[in-house]
Amino acid sequence: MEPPSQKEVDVAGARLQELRETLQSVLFGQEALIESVLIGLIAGGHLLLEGLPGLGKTELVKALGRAIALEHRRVQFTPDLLPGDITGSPILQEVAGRREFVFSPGPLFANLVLADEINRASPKTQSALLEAMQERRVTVMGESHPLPAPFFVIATQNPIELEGTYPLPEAQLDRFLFKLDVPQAGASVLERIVLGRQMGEEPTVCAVMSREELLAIIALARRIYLPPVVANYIGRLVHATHPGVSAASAGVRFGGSPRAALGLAVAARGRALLHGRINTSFEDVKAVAPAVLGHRVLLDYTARLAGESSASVIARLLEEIPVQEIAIPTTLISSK
Amino acid sequence: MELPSELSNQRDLQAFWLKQGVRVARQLNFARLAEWAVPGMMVWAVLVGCGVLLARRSSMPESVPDATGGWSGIGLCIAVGLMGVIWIVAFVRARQRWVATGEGLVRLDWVLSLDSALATAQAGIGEWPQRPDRTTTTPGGALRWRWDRIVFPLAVGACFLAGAVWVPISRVHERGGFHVEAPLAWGEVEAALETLKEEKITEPEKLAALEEKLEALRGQPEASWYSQSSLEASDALRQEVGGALSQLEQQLAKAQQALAQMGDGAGLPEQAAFGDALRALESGAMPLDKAQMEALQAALGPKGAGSIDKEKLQKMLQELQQGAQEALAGMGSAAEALKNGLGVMGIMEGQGSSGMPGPGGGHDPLGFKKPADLIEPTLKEALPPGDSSRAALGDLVNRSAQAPEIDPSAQSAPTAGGGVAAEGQGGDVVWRNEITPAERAVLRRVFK
Repeated sequence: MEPPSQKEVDVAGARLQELRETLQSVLFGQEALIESVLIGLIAGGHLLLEGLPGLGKTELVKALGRAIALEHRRVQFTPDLLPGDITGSPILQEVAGRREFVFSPGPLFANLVLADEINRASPKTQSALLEAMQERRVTVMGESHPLPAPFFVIATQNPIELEGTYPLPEAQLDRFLFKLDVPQAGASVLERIVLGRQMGEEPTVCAVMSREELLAIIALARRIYLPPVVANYIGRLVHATHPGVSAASAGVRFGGSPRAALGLAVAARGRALLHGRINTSFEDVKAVAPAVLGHRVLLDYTARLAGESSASVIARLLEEIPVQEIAIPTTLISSK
Repeated sequence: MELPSELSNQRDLQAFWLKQGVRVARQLNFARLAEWAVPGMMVWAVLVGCGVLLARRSSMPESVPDATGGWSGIGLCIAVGLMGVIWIVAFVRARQRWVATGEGLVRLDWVLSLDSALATAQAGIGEWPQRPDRTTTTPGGALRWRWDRIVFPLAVGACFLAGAVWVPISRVHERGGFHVEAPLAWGEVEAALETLKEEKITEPEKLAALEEKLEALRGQPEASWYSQSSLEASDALRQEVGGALSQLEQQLAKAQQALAQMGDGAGLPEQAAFGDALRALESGAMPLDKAQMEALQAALGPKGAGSIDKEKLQKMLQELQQGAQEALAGMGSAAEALKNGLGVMGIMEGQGSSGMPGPGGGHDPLGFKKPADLIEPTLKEALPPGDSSRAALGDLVNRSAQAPEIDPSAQSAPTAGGGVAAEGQGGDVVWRNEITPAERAVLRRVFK
């Protein structure tokens, strides 16, 4: 695949910068979250946002849909939500004098789907959504219906009020490219929100990017050059998440899958494009690793009891695994 | 043809960064080599230092390597060879993890935060980045030497080596416990034999036989030099030489005496006496040298009595006797004993000679002779005549070589029959296996 030229990357970078600024005008003080969402968007991956209510998760997704001029839908997941409610279902209709089942598309048939509080739906409904995320098509009554491109699912879940919820199984979590924590806003951010927004008033968001432009950017991101040394680093990093392979992986029950390595590579490419580079770097991998690996590294019971978290394990891994496979001799000190 | 300025600039940048990459790769490779070689050199220095210490401690003639051959030369060759082996092993180990220019560029990418621009440019994608700002970051600062890891082991090794070479230590043979002094008798016998050989007094064959005996004693292991059998053999050899010398001296004295009695008109008896003395000299334990004997026998030829140069012969005999006396004087205490007339048996008996522990020293319990130094315990000297009852206070009334026997258990006052001086109490020990000297004296007196 031909690597992109610097000019192409610069043009895409400018469009993305415009999109970033638009989102930052809607969601205050969440620059890191917005960057991660944009990287996930460029990488073509699905995102899982986890945070307390009222932090702007839904607002961010709605603003994103408006800014890119994508067809976006919101589905509030509840325990009584059925798979047909999101995928669509056949309806008996009279067509040309004959009664037949006509497929009526569900809310999944959109470019951007906000699955709000996904952990409140039953596993059956979750499974239907996750199948659509993976296959990018819906099959009803033996008939497959492709989902529109691009197709993004941004799911949210609430870390509190876990009663009556159905936590996503590890295999389904693996479908998400990123799992992002939505941080609490600081005092200055709250001040900006209070001064700039009104309760119940939707912010005005102008479309800064078309669907076609987004597809072109996604295609461009796949052409970003991944140097062999960076690929080697990704491989060693993901391999080191498995128990017994590295010191940092002590207490890990299951490490990252090959899908995690692929996700790391595509996310690194997305970050490189977002930063206007034609190649990925170690810095890109390190930056996206917590979001990509955090929900794929599962800790055992003792580690959780000891207060360990996936984030702390990933942080230790990034410290432990050198970017270059060669070890620095003990007679030298690397300045970084 | 002139290149466009942008392309030319890129080529310059490529040359610059490749040079930096080579530099970093070389630094990494040399550091890897040092990582293996430096500890090896420390071990080498310790091993060589131990070798030098051992060489200096032993009695090797050349303790400090001077490249002049011998033991030090061999040691130097071994040390150099060992150093070569260490460097070869270090090189082979380091070579397994050698890095190339590309890896040097990747290291620079990371250290200078170039976002893998160098690795990408080296792959032919994208442009080479601009030169870093020297005021903030320099490629040379990507890797720094850890001098402590290099200098400290080398310094330790060098200090150990220097200490091994220069710290004063004594050689093994200079230490008292390792050198065995030869028995004194051997030296005395050797001195006597040397004197006899220099003066040409006795037959060389006889001297050679005695030297052979002496060498046989010397040829024993040092641990056996002071064994009972060795000491007895040494003493016997010394007595044999001493007795023979004493006999030789006496025969020479007799010959001188016989020669002095031979006058101008000497008769046959005088000549016969001189002839007997010469025969005794010839057939003695230490026969006279043949040349000397022929000169003496010439005096007894057909014209002997008349043509004798008496003074010359006297002088010759005197010189021979003087030589024998000198040889005998070299025998030390043996000569003293011989001169005192104790003879061979006198030396054998009693205390060993000086510097030479005798065979089972002490007095022979079955000997007839009284030891001279034994003080008779009961020997009492007679006092000068006089009435001791009139002796004044402080006068000497008696002299004894033994302390007066005083029985402390004797009663100082009369005691009634059946009475006891001390009543025993319950638990007192009534029998003892050991008695005091005073009690032993009392018992001896009672049972005498």
